[in-house]
Amino acid sequence: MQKQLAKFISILFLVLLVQPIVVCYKAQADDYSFDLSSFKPRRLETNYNLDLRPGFSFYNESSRFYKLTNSADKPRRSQQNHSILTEMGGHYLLGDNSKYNFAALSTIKRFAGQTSDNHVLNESYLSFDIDSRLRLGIGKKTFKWGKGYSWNPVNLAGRQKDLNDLELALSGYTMIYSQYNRTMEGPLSNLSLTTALIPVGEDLNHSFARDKGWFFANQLYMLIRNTDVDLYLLTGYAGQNSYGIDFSRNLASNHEIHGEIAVKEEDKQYSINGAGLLTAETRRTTNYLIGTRYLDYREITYILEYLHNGSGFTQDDLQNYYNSADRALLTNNKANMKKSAYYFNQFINKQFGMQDYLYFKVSKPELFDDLYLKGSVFTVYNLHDKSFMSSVELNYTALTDQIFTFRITGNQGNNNSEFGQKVSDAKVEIRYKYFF
Amino acid sequence: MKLNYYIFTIALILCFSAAYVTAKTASPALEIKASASTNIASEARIQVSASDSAEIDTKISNNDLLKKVDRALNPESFVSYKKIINIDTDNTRKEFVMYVGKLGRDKVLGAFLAPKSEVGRATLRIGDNMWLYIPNVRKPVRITSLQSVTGGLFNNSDIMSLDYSYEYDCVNVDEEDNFYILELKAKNNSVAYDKVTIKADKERFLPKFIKCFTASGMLVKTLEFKKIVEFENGFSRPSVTETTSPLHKGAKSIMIFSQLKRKNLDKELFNINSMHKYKDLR
Repeated sequence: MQKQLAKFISILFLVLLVQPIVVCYKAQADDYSFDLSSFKPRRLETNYNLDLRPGFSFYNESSRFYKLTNSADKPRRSQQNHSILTEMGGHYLLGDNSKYNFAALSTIKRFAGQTSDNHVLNESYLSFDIDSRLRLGIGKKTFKWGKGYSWNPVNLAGRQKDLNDLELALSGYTMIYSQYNRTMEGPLSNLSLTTALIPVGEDLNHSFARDKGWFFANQLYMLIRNTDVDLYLLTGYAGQNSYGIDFSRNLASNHEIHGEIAVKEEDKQYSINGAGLLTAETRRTTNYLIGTRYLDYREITYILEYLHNGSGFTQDDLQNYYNSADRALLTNNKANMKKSAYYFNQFINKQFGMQDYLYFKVSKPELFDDLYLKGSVFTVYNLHDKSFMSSVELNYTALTDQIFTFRITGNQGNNNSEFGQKVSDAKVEIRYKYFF
Repeated sequence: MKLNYYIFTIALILCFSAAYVTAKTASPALEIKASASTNIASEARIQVSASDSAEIDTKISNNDLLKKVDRALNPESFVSYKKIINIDTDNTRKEFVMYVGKLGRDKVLGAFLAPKSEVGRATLRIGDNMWLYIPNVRKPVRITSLQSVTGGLFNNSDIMSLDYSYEYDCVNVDEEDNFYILELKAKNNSVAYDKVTIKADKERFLPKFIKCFTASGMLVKTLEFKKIVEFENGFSRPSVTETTSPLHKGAKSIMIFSQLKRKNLDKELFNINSMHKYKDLR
């Protein structure tokens, strides 16, 4: 498998070396016409992309998880992480007002010497436009609610995005939904009400909620005097009721602010006691985010967000976990070591798993005056233990429908901090995405 | 406990109904206000210095002239295909094809049709508000007028341009041979450029050059209009807009219009939850 992957990547890069010649030749043509025949709408519209991600990471040998899962006599300094993602999406027009929509994602991963694959139909639903204002739909559909760039506490009916791949398609849930849109003149110029009925059973939407039952998700969107405002409500027979609000507004031609807050009435709050045992209690939690985006005169965009995860672990929980992992390592108790490693994987090593963070991103298009080069740096900073994760990324888009990305990610922090204990010190990754 | 949630749900639906009814009732009056707003600038001036009637007349005629330039550039409501080409200093280029639609004075939508990596992206502008929809992100993200969804020299306010008379007051008009030189001032700080000058021909009011300045008076970019094409019976306009900037010497961005025609798109499309439909409008 590894050999095949290496061969495939080599062939692909060879093809890419030849392509710039073709592109340069095409760039000589200088006419102002364009052929519109290829843009005629079709009954079946599809789009595909292939995403190759070779990479490797350096182990953090002082990480407790590293010590718990790697034997001392066989130290490993680095490991290769490769993945191939294939995405397909599109729609088929069934009639003038009805459509079948679909999106699928296939992933093949080679990680820590193991190869795994995952094939998911992210979306598959029928939609019917009753008139220009009302749409009904049934099937598997993705909702992404909220205004935050890094995290969306109000995304009550969807999955949280991956900070390392914010545009990665996410899988939806099976539902019946309706959406009513209204455009008006005056201070309230846009109005939308989205409602969805989401069943949860053993074989259906089981990751949506802990308990089986029916859930009713609602979003009311309003554009009020140049401010986006959304109200959210999730109710269900099985409990786990939640509600939230978000807003977004442009303060100037280069400055935007946004925020969101969500309350979960019956959220599961985990904590780790002094004996290293995981306990859970059901209680009300509040999650919120406030942020801003600013564009300066050099065309550099800054995004700053503060976020609070009310159901995250406290620093005491984390310290209790580290103490218990240290005891397991000191006594070389295999059962306790296994349990500690399991806790880390399942509960600790999560995106925004603690409570208070800052997210800061700086990006600049046309870096070094190159039309095709974009650079960005982002960091996630744990406000309590002062540890952080940083990532530097370069995107190159000179070849039509192709994106090259080079990314280096590193974690910093002391021995009892969140990011200081991540299993890798640094990760280097190349991404090549081809749209066809 | 759960009863509270059902009450809250019903209250939410009632709020929605009330807002809907209020908006519907309020709409006719607000529409009248909107149509009357074409003379807002002159009315404001009347309140400030009612004694100077000559100045008021000048102001009105300046803004009327600006409206004529707007109508020479575009019908108030239309649809069109648009190609955007960004050319770098080393002559490398990046191209985008969009389908765009404008409704009335303050609504513009757009859908990317090419390249494939951009297909499905959509833009919406309602007055000073702008959003970008990215298919995989599945939700519209609020953007500002000085950002650029395509890169190059065109920013979002160039790509989703409204009538100049919606965003600017014409504060002065000079004449130069067969051209008017209109001097415009931004109405508020959400507008991309603080000051704009338009060089438009006296006969057809078509712009030849538009220069955009910052508040400090620095020239940011120059738009040159070329190749007049008759798109519909009785409606001709330059089909090509070339942009250069002293801040990016040697680079240029070009916008080419094709199949521009008068059309009133359904106003319900100008809603952020309709943005996923835009690429199917053509």
